[in-house]
Amino acid sequence: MEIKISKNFIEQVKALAQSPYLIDAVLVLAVFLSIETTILSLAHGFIVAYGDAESHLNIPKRVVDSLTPGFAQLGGIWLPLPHLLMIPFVKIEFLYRTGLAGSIVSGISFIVASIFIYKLGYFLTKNRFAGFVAFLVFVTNPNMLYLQSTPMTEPVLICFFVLSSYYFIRFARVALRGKHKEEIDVLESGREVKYLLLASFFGFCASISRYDGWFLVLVEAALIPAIYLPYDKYSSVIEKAGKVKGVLSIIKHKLYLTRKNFTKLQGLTVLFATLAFLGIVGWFAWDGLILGDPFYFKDSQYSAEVQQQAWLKRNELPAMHNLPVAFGYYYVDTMANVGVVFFDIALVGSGYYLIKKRNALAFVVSIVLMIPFIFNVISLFLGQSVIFIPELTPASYEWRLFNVRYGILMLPGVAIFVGYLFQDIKFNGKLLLLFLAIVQFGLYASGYSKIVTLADGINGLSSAKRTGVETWMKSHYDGGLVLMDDYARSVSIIGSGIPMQDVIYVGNKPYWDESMQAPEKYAQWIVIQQNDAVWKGIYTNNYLRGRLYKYFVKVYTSPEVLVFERNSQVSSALNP
Amino acid sequence: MIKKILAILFLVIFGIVMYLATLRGVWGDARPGTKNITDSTMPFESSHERSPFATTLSLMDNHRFQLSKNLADFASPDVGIYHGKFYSYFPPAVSVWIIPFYEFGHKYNLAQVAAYFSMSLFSIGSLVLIYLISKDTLRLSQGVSIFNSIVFGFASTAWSYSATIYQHGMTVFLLLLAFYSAWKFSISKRSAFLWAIPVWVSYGISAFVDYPNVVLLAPVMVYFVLKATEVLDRGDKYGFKIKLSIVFSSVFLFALVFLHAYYNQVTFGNWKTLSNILPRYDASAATTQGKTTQQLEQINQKTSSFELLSEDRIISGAYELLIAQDKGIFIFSPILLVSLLGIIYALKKTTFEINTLIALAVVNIFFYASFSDPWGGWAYGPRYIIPAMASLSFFVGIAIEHFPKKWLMRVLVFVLFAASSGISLLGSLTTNLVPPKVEAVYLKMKYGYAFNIDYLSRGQTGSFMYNNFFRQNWSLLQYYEFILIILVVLAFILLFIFPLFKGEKVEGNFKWK
Repeated sequence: MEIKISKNFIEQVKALAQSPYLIDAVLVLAVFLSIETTILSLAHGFIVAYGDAESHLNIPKRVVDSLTPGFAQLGGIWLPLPHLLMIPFVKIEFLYRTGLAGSIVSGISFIVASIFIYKLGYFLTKNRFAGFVAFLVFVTNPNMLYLQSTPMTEPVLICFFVLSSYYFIRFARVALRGKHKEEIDVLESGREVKYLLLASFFGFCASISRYDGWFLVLVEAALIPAIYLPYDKYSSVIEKAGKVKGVLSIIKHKLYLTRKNFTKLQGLTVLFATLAFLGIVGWFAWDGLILGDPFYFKDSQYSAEVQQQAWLKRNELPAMHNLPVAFGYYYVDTMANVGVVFFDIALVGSGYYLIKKRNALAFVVSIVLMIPFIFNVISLFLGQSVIFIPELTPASYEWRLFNVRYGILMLPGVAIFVGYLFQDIKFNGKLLLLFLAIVQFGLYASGYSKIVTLADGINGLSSAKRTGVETWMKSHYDGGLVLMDDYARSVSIIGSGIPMQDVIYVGNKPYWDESMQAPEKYAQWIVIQQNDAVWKGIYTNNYLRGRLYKYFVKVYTSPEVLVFERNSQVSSALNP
Repeated sequence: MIKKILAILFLVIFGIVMYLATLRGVWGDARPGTKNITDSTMPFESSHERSPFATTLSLMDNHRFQLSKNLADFASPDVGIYHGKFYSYFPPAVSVWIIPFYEFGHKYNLAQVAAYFSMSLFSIGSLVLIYLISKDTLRLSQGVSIFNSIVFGFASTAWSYSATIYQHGMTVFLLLLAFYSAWKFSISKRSAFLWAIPVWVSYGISAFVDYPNVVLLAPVMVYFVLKATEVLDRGDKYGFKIKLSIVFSSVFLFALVFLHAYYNQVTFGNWKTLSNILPRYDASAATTQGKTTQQLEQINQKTSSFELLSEDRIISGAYELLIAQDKGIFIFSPILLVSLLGIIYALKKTTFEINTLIALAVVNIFFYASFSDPWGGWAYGPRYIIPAMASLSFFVGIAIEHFPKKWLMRVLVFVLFAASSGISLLGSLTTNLVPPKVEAVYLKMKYGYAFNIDYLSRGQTGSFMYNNFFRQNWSLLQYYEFILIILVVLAFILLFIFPLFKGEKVEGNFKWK
């Protein structure tokens, strides 16, 4: 049996796959998927499923609506850009209460990232359909789709990571002209500085989004000299003098850089670093000036490093100072986030790309796309972060699901390598990849592969712990200031309906400090959770507890949380 | 051709002798209540043997799949309840297959032995198919092709399950038959239709043997379908050609699928209901006591068999199946380590057939690594990945033929084979009821093949031949050594003597199409 298809038709399909209008389809599809998933998340109450999601909304909200509004409310731990971007949206109460303020920022980041993944795929392969395949791998990833519907900061980082990588790779290609076979046009060759500046700017944005961005700009800065090394000269010297003598000769005669290149390199590196490192320097300055310690983000009681100490005491930091385990954790985490099938295809694709290209540009591309992997492995190894994932975390641990979303940062790299492999293999290989992609979605649909980022938000340690008190507050709160430890998340501000202007938390000076001496001074309500800052500051102090019970009445009791309301009779006696 | 026939004849005879030497059995019909038959090492030590056998007895005595209370207690805990009636947890193929052999054996007071031996026939068939695939498809040399068969048959833990009525032997046979037929189909013109039939039939029947076979055989079916299609350049058009024989012969698959659906509908009231998702009946469990079948059915409700699989378990499952001391394939069959080298060589000159064989192993390991019980309960070695053992055995031969230092490789293979066959024979002669480490530690028991060594030294075996014909004169250890020596000598001949004959190059002729 034979089915005949006109070659003309095939050519038309091929032409369609290479159409410049494909980018319009990319935009439309990305916007559609972003909105669709956000609506789903909203309908199921998943937008603020993460404990951190609410905190990411509260920070910008405090900047504009708070007892003590101002930029100092940005704090000194989490980097400020995602919160700054949310400010216009959290001002609208509906967007703040639903979490959509964060979803808008994450959604736009997702859309921009997906467009540039398409562009990067196209740029590397000169094949629009390869870019489209990379784009599809990125935008159909359920973990990415879920995260882009939340106020979490990963989508913002991914956006700036992709943008910075895209321009850095374009810069590298121009800078490496003549070192490999690919020809570039005259117009492109004049854009070297422009691309570097754009890479630097977006690197700067990444560096004030998440700490991963710091590593990105550091690696990019380190790659600039590497790009300008005259490799061709080395090989001829080594060929003539032999390996050892050749290397010694290169060092002795300073052949590693020509004077002309060295001057240019100096200029470009300074240009890149000035803007790219501005965020890092600025953050040190901010912490020093506002919080009194340039290393506040690292040393304060709220920092990740200090939090890891608690895990260390429980002997539950398996990856710390153990490189293979750190590697294993992030490897498996990446696999769980990007999908086990796509992960394997990307592994093959990256190996294939490196072997086939074997040039400096391929090296730069691979290093840049692998930055999240290297950063996270180092971070786990140093004990600066922790990931618990059921595949590897021992059953004896109290929690086996935590911070799994970090693996999503490798999705852009995976998408690019899948796209590359797809365009470069034969028809049967393409069919096989298509079949495997269907298998991947089948694994998700059957529940075999979980949407790990969502699972962590619902059942993992990253999930917001709802004590039930917010429901009670929603129906009983009738105005007045509420003293609470927001860091301990004793009550959800979003869920309880308490206006942010009525909250006294540790960042409201002098309200907080004075309330810790005289709880009745400002607060109409006090929410205390076992072992939180209010508990430690007031409830465990006999004198202050006496004052608490003198001026307040306990109106809500649960195993974890107590709510006190100002005793109106005592209040009227004090303020007749 | 004569060489090929002789080789097949040798494998059949050798297979019969070896499997008979280790076959578990007792005189008579071995019905529930027969003394000692459910003890360790004996033919019904595991519910995995009792459950399909109970269905066989029910079919013969009552002409129905439903088990009586007595048979359900015998088959427990691999029994499900549906509408107050008891059914085996396993699909019916094994139970139905052994019926004629049981009845034939009954005439000679060897009903159970004959029934069990009928399962060994599939393993013998697998030996032949491995030889044929090695020789014809992969174009390996005569000696190496026979050696590949021997590796799978007697140097992997597949042996332990060939001397009893587990489903794995049947699964491997159908898998290899489907692959070989699909390959023959791809190279045949006139007889393509005839070769397509066993592919569809094997796939259809495999679901009656074990439900996961639908997934395990999938790579063969992908290979089969792709081999039936062709893209042709027809001037201004492209032609997508599909062999009609594959379309027409698929009627056999549809018939079998329909039959399966009908079986489910009639037995469990729904064409989609599989026996292994029925509420479990465990006669010995404390929670079962004093409850009616209706109550048990309510209590033990399950939702879906998909819940048994999860990506979360892949890493620990893969560790367990591959390298764990209590179950790992490379611990129980170190000879298969050589196959990894063979895969590397094979991938350098990869073909669709090679990729399919690798995919078969990968899918098998991937599937059961995700399974909630990768250990396969109390079992000897990683029984769930016996199909992968068959796939990997091909690559042992490829490594032998392709490794630059031929003699060094052959010496290494010989040593690993001796160790693997020793381990394999140990399980086959003693017991399959070996606890996984997680349970063994808790129960303060040994695990891995160390557990079986005690049985060997105590002389405890279920081997029908040994218990009835050799026990008087030989200790079990002597019997074990005797069989092992035969295997080692055979391996020596195949690895070192065969290449000396004309036409058997030590260099090998590794040049598959």
